[in-house]
Amino acid sequence: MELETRNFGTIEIKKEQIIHFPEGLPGFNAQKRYVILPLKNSQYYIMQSVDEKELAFVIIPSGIITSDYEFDISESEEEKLGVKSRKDLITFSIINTKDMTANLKAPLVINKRLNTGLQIVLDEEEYSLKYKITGENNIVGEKVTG
Amino acid sequence: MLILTRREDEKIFIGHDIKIMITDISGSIVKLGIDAPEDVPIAREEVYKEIKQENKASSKPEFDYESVELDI
Repeated sequence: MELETRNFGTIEIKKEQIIHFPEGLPGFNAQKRYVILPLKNSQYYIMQSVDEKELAFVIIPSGIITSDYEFDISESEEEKLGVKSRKDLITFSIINTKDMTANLKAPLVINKRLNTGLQIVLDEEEYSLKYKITGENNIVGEKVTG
Repeated sequence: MLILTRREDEKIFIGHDIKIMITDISGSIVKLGIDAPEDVPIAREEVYKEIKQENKASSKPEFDYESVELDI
């Protein structure tokens, strides 16, 4: 199917690529379908809404910015994601490109087996909403360091 | 919204398994003790507000689109 993207024109995607967020994201509850698109020569990805062309995020696998990142997900969250094995789960952090920070407080958790996703809120002091990742607004080439 | 009046050490139940107790009141600060099943998410309202705001601020990312290509 064709998908209009915010920044990359119209692209062709497969239906199987679509990730369903049953609750949407906080602030974007109505938009429940996204695709995650890799970027060339970059560790970042674009998470583009399927429902709204103008809605997109820059995201990064959480493990790249911090190796010491652990959290529990609850049984009800596992149910929403349809988790059979925790090995199926991958986590991303949303990047705020205005100040190049990553949101470690509310990671995106995706069940890659079923293509379901949730943004979960960690109500713990230890993870920052604005974790500084790099001094420059440059998402290509540069190695990301935490 | 249901409004209940409670004193220190008094409790309310929500359903059978969520118990909220007023553990301490001092001035304008109220401390709540919450007993709930592990799978019930509990968060301060401000945390959700912060996440919403941060999502909004991140939702129209600005970067040098010209230099970036999708790898698809």
